[in-house]
Amino acid sequence: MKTKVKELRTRAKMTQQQLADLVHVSARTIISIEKEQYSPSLMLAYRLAEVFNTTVEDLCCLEENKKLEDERYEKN
Amino acid sequence: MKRIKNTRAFIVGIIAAVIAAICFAANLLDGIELRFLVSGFWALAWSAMSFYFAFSKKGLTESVSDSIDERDQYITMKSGKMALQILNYILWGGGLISSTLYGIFRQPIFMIVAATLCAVILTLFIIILSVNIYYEKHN
Repeated sequence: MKTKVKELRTRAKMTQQQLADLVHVSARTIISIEKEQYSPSLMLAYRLAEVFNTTVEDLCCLEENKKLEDERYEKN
Repeated sequence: MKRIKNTRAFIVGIIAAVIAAICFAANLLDGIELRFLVSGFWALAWSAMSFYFAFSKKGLTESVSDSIDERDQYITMKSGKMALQILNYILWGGGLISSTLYGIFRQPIFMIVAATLCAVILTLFIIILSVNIYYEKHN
C-alpha cells in the first residue's frame, strides 16, 4: 500500500531507526512500509500519523489507495 | 497464585507427573519392579524441573513474542503457511511415488511408506481443520 511515510520522515529529518523507536516497531518494518511491501496495521498507522502530526487518511493516501483498489476490483 | 511464565514447560510438567504416577501405580499393583521404579523417579524429577522452569523462567515462545512486532508476526504467519504448503506437496509427492513404485515392483515396503504418508496427510488435514474451526469461533 502506498503511504507518505518516507516523504514525511525525510521532511522531519528522522532516521528510520528513530521513527521505529517512536512507534515501537523495528526499523525493518519502517523500511518495508516505505518500500510499499507491507501495509501497517490501523494502530501503527495511527501512531505514525501522530508522530507526523497528520491524519491516518492523509498518511496512508486512503483516497488514492481506495481508487486503485476499486479499479482492480472492477477489472476482476 | 504464581503466574505461569512458560506454558510449554508447565504442560511437560503435567505429562511427566502423570507418567510418574502411572509408574508408581504399576509398582504398587504388580509389586516392586526396578524399571518402573527408575522410570517413576526419573519422571518425577523431570516433572519437578519442568514445574520449576514453568514458574521461574520465560520460555522461548514467550520471550520471542515480547520482542517481535506486527510485521514479524505477519511474516511468521506467511512462512508457516508456505512451509505447510511445501510439506503437503512433499507428502503427496512421496505418497504418489511410493504407490507407483508399489504398482511396478510389488514390494510391500512401498505400500507401507504410501500408507504412512497418507496417514500423515490425513492427520495434518484434521489438525488444520480443528485449528481453523477454533480460530473461526474465537477470533
